[in-house]
Amino acid sequence: MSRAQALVELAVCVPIVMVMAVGAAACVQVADARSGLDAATQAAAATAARAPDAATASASARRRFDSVVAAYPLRQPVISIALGGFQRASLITVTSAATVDIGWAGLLHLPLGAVLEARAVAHLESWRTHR
Amino acid sequence: MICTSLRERGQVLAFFALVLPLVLLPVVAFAVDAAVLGADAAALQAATARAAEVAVEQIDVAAFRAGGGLALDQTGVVSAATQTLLDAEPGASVDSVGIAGTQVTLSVSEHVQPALPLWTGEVTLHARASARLSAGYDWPSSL
Repeated sequence: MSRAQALVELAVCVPIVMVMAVGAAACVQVADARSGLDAATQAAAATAARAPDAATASASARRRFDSVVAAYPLRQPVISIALGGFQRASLITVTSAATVDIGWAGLLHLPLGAVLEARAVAHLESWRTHR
Repeated sequence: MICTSLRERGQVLAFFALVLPLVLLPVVAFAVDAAVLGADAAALQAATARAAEVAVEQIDVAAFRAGGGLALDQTGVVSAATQTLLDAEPGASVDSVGIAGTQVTLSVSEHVQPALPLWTGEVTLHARASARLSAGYDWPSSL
């Protein structure tokens, strides 16, 4: 009667431990991805604010965003850049969105992915000459 | 033999009942909070750097036009730093603004409540950034 009792008890407890472990890992991955998307968006805004003209600003901001976001576990990153006329002291607003894939956590009925959004505003320098 | 078996029943459950709240839950809470607070600290540092850059652009125009060279408008520096920081991180506060010549050093802090406050009730994040104003053109002016 007592055979394999410990095994049964372990089988009762293991799912709880697994949910906690996988849930924690998924939370950490989402936090890491959120941090990366924030950093990439801010880097794009800062790069755009230092460009000499609007066309260069947009292109260089996209390049910078792509290079930063590539280092993080993000899928389908999308960036939108509003240059606000590119006048001195105006604001450049960059918004972005991406998906973080936590499909491996789907075994435990956790969501397969999360859509993250970020926004950054950069101030065009007041005294800098722009084309 | 039967007595021994009865005594051993539920030992794994009892073990997990002890280990779960004492070890596993705190470890999970620590892992989640560390990741979230790390992201918050990075965001605060970025906002501080941006605020310092905006602050250092507050030139004392009157002094400059009077031939006094590049100097910073101290009231404008504090105001711009505070406003820029609060736009990005509404919960942050400026601890100090140091102005040395054309360099601005900004120290800020933010009180953050952890998502799973098992370890600590509140965490204070600190960030520090400096920016320096330098004369010169990045691109030829309209001259």
